[in-house]
Amino acid sequence: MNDIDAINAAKTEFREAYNTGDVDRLLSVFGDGFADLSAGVPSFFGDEAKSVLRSRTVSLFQSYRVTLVVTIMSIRVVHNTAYDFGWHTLTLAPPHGGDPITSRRRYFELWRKGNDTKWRIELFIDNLDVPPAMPDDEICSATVYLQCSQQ
Amino acid sequence: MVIEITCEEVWREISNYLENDVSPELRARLEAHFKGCAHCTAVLQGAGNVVQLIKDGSVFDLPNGFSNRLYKRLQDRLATRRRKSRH
Repeated sequence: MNDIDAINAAKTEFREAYNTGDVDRLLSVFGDGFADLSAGVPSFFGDEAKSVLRSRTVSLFQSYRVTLVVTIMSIRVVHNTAYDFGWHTLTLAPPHGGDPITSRRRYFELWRKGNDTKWRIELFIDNLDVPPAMPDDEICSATVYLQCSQQ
Repeated sequence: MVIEITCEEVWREISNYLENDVSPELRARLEAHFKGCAHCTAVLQGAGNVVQLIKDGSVFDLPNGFSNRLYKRLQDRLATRRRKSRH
């Protein structure tokens, strides 16, 4: 399995951990000293980050049925380090009925390949996505002009 | 369990997907990705439209003399390139 396939597989574990409410499976995708820079909550680093992630996700899985859709835009690998970015669409459904809540976030992850050849997340950061939009007309025309003049 | 696939891998495989020239495993990964990715779905639909247009010969009713003009333009461009490469 090449490195990109291995990271795709690790992201699948990440997704399935959320979708099955399996905290240990989720934590297995993160490195021991990872940095958690998730949006809207305080940042944590190292051992604390894993403990806080465990606590947050235990609470999340107790409160909601979770569905995560992962959209990986790109994975880039440089030796034993890699990064990927894309979107996480998280739907939280109250277990006893009620309207589900869906949020879509843009994420960036830094990966490190361990001595056991497993890829794990070293840094995670995300922010809330906004609806897609085309650039304003004047930016579009300036970009087209730039592309033409470079040919 | 369907393994994730990146947008970049999806773009590389779109024409094979449209031509039904992908393995069942890859097809499942691509289709799972399309469900969650509006960007790749747009690329897929765009590529699908191009294939439809190409299949539909009536869309490409070319004006009289088009082939001759195109041939002459290609010849001119090739001649210019040859001249430039000699200098």
